Amino acid sequence: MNPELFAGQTSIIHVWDPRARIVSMSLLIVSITSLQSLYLALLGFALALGFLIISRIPLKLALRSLKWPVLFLAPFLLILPFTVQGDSELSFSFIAISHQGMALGALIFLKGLAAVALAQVMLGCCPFTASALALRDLGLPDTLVQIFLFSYRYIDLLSQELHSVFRSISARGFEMQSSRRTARVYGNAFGTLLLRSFARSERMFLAMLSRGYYGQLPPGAPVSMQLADGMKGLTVVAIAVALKLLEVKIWTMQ
Amino acid sequence: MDYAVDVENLSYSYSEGTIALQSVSFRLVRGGSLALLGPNGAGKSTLLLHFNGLISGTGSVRILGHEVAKENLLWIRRNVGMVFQDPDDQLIMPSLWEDVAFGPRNLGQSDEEVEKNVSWALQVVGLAGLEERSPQSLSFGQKKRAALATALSMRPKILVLDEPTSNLDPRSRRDVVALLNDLHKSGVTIILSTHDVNLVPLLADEVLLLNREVIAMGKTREIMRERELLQEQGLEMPLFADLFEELRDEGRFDGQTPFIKSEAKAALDEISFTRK
Ligand SMILES: Nc1ncnc2c1ncn2[C@@H]1O[C@H](COP(=O)(O)OP(=O)(O)OP(=O)(O)O)[C@@H](O)[C@H]1O
Ligand SMILES: [Mg+2]
Repeated sequence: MNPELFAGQTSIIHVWDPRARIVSMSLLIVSITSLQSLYLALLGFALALGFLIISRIPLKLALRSLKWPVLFLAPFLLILPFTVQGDSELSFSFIAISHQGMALGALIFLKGLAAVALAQVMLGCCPFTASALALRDLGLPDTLVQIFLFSYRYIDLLSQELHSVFRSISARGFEMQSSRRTARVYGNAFGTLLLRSFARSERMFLAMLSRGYYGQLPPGAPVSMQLADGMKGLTVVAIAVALKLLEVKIWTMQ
Repeated sequence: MDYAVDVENLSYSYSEGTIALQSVSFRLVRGGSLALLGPNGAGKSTLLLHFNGLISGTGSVRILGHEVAKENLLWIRRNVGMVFQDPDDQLIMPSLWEDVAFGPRNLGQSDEEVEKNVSWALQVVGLAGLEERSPQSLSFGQKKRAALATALSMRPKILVLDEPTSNLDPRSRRDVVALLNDLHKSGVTIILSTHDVNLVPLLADEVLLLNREVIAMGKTREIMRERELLQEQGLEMPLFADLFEELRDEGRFDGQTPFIKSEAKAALDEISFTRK
């Protein structure tokens, strides 16, 4: 949830109608995550990196958002080679590393990272509200979109409050130790955080009411899609289809 | 009869028992300007929230002749613009433009109207050109003015501001004062709370001294020269008035109490004239 992600940035992805972007990029993600061939998954991963570069999302931010998925996916890469039965590539006494296991681990890892990178290109290049309103234009129920939209501001708010609570306790000389006091201070800080966030979200809600909000999102400015938006969408869909066709071709050749 | 705000016997307690307002009654004419003055915790913010029907106590609040009640809320909010003390409470959208457009869109304005009102509001608060910025990335003073723009874009007849000049640098403060004066001249009723006694004569024709209950209400020029009254509430007199009232007590001045620089200069001339 970083507004700086799109502030001052422009690329052909940034100026692409979010509706066309969401639909076509979702298709590409589905296409890549359903690939069964390691080589095509590698190609898919390369494509995802390509999109990330074209989108001009700052490298630092992109890497940061990939950190958790990597930690989550790494076990597949490390465990599957040992657990999947198959032709053993290497074996030491009772441990065997299987070829199939390595391939499967790499496949899951690459597809996962590609999906996360593409999701970032899909959602990170425009204000979050624009994406949310695009979802509504595409037929998602209003309530769901509102939850989506305001959870964005609340997460933002929570992280700000978190930051200020911890800054305030460390400004007063608090240092983390493994002691009972540390646990108590953390407990209190967490309580404060919840109270403050609650009070603030209440005031935010009042402020919204004062601006005539009545539980419904105002309709967004209707934007008509341009030819360029459609062309970009078609290109991405073509890539998604081409990947699947390539896969079929590989199967029939075998 | 023709009151912008008419409060009668209003009392309000927060749920855990703090009595914030007790039997508050006062009236403000249409097109008037009123400053709420009182120490921290006096109930200023609490009172202001009532003008928009955001909270409701016992007693009655009427806005432009309409009772603040559930069935009128949308009408009330269309006519009363509210600027909160902390701009972070008010700014909710990922871009400044969207945030300022939030109110007009809620009112169901057409795209052209929204566009027109948003650019006007951003223009008058001096933030034109920052439309695409995320409000969270603005400086505090800019946020404060952005919050003002989000209320202005709804073109309210009554503008309610909770400490509009606090934490602003001198230049931004002067700009806000000038903007509020312009709005007032164009017919908008202004109600604000402030701790800045020196700005009160520049901002409001009338003053309400509040400390849970109404301590005093009257013309700014009369209330703001009452040394004891102000000191009892932990407040001070505006600087020029303070000096010249002291001179009056010493028998060295007997003109009209000056509140702004030009008046103070005239008063000085008067003193040197009588000396000669
Ligand atoms: N959300 C709340 N819940 C409980 N008590 C509250 C709440 N907000 C304010 N109060 C209490 O109500 C009283 C009036 O508060 P209020 O914020 O209206 O004062 P104020 O005049 O605006 O003060 P300040 O000059 O500090 O802004 C205070 O005693 C305060 O502690
Ligand atoms: Mg207050």
